[in-house]
Amino acid sequence: MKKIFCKMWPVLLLVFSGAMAGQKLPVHTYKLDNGLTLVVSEDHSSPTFGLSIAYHVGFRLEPRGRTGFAHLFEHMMFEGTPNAPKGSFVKIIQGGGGSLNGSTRYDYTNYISTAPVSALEPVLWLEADRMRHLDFSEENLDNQRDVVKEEIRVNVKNKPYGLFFWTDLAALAFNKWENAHDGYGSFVDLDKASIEDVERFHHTYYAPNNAVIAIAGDVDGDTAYKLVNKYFGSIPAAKLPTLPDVSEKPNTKERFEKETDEHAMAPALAIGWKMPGPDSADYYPLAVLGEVLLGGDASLLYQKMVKEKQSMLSISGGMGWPLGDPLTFAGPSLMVAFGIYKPGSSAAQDTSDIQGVIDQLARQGIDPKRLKAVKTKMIADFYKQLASYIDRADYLAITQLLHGDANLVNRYPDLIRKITSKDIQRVAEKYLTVANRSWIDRQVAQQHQEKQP
Amino acid sequence: MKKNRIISMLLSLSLLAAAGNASSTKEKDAPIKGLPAYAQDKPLILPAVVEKKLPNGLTLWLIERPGLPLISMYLAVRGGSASDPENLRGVSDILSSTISAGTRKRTSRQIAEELQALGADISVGIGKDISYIGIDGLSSGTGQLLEILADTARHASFPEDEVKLAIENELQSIIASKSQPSYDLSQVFYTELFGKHPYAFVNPDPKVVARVTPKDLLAVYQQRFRPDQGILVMVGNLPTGKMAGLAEKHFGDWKSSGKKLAAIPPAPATTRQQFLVVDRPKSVQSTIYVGRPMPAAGNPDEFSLKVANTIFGGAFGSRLTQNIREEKGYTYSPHASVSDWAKGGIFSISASVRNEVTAATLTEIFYELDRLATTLPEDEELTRAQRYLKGSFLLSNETSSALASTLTGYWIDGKTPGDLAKYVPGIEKVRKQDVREMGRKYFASRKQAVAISGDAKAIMESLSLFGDIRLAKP
Repeated sequence: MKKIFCKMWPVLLLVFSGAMAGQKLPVHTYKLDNGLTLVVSEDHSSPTFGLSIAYHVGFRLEPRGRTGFAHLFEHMMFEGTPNAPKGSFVKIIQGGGGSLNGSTRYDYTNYISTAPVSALEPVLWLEADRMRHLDFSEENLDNQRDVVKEEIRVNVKNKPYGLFFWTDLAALAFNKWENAHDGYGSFVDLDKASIEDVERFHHTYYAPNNAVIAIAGDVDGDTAYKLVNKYFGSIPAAKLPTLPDVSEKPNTKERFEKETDEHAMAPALAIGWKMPGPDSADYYPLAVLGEVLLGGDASLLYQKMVKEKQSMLSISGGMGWPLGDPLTFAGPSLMVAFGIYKPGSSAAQDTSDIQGVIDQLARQGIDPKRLKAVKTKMIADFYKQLASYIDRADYLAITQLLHGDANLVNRYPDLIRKITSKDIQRVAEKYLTVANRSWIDRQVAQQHQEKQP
Repeated sequence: MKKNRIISMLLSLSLLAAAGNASSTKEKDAPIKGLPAYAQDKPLILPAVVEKKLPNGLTLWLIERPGLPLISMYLAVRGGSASDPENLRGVSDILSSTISAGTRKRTSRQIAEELQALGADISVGIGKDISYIGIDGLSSGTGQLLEILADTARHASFPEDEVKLAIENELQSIIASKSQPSYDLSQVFYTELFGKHPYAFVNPDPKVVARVTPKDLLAVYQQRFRPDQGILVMVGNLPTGKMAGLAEKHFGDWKSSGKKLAAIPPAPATTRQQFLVVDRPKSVQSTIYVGRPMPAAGNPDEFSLKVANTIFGGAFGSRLTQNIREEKGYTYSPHASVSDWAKGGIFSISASVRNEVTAATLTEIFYELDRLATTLPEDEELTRAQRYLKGSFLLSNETSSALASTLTGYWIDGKTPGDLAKYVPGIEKVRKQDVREMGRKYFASRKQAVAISGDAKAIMESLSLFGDIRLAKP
């Protein structure tokens, strides 16, 4: 029951009615005896709350031979407990006027919800209840296995490009199984998942000392703390397994793969460069570099490839794209550039043109005015993301969980501001090289090619 | 949302997953032991909207929101894709991608770079009855942002090379989108529902897109973008007096000229039951659309329809999700929605299911539709749907940009900021009988058209039990 960290500015809170005035978000952090960390950010501008509970387990920690299990498990968290039958969660949240979601990522799994503040207490009860135990039934598992398979059909198998720029690119670029395997999982592995696996996983990772809960909105820290302690305080801590070393060095030889797409009508290209984890001094410079190259219509690669050379129809990407951003990884990620290219162009030419832009940047550095504009945009985008309580709570939970410091959301603007042109040059030269590059040329299947005008 | 015509069709990455569902009939709503009750609802705080009109007719709705250093602004005008000239159906698609691609004094690159330096994004959208330009950025740059907004709304120049590139990209993007199961299906479905009415139009014809000229774009743009049929909505961290002054400065001398846009006729209000299949060989899933035309915005059934649809299939906790996702595992994300526009509306259900259960899914959809029309919902279902809608209303107006978007939608539907106060009471007064009445009037299965995109070889036979199945092409 120690408050490990409490920044409270009661005067400020009153004067500014809670919202993020003075550009600093109020952040109070508490720790329960069982190891559960609570982060509260008070804001009374809307009578609602956003809540995120993040567990330190994601794709990288799922058991071997059980690809896709972390995500399947996430679905099981909505299937009821011995106290609250299947469906209770949605019923209570929606009946409370709110909405909820869950998602699985490389280093965490999060459960987010938002509602009018009158629903906060029942929601906390339900979150505590499913941290304590689940309804481990075969019927639920079979049902969710089917739902997950449909999800994979919708997003991967029946969809043009089928997320190859995530799953296939990671498989090509990374060496360690933790980083390289498909987080959606194979149907074979999903079929192998048993109810014992589900129980073991819950027992191992869904413990208070492996989680952070964050609440943003119309509630004060002490009230939130009392409620969280009331419902979560008696859940026992677990002995956590040691985390594997998932770090990887940049590749020393270029990797390439050609694929055929059953559904796409236009060919696409994805390039990934291996990036270090957030413990590296190069991490935030790389985040800024990603924005310089790929952040919207003013970015260098959009201007070069889509506007000037007109060889690509679109280009998007960045650090950790499309599954996250610089604040949401605890280990290595990829700098990804993905785009659809035009029939007259070739993936090899486009890749080489993209590399040309990067090499020039590494040699000559970046115009200070452009660098300032990019940083301003990144910081503004961050504020825009923090605008809704649910996203604010989610960032607080994830930064506390992965980086041990929810105040990172307040320090982030300065971390970005201090990046110099020299930093950009250094990291471009070190990581965005041909040798560290993996790329996939995704071509249109024969039967579709004839349909091209 | 009807305004969001710009769809990023390729990358709607929803790995975000899961949400289980309302309890099945097995566990009949026994109270959950230990679960605390909801606290008292807090009173609704409605934003103070300053309404003004400039002498040239431009409406201003302004809201100050302290807190984050952000501002959102929308300049919207009446007239969208349904008003495209007959021989240029689809010109709106090119219009939306070229309005911010150059003005008399700025190139597209300058616009992009200036916005970046102000921490801002621009979005141009064209719906069936609305065209808008939106900018979200740092409130410290409000004056400059508004100047850019005015420049694009008043002086877009449609440079030849930008138009050429936009057309080329649009043509490629049509090819790319055609591989989505929903692409041809949407067109088939809308044509079935709306016939020759302009609302039937969804996908632009590549032949038309190819011949759009800068002159065409300028003509359509000038006819739509004029102050006497427009609104400027601003929400953000700035006093409304300052907002009004800046609006006056950048839009005060804007003049309307030429003929006003002609109104479009009312859309059909009913359809016949039809079964259409769009063949997609090798497809591993069937994408099912079921629906019908609905009344236009401002109809008296608005709130009852929202509640009825929420109970039926508009939320995770709805009957449809419960049935075909949670009990049967047929589909990942079934959904039902009711949308309304100026001259008509649509009810549509969508579900992607594996081939083998296509017919079985349709049976369940029909069952749920007719159940709504024949029996009363339970008390708990009604209250839950009402609370859900009221809460969503609060949440959907939590941020400045969301509130600005809501208000822009209100304006185009002929509502006023005062209507914000009518939402909660409107939802609260819906009774169980009203829900069943909506079921009879609109939801009954016999009143819906069905269109399915899937592998005809794999699904036609099982579907034949419903009657004549017609193969359709857009």
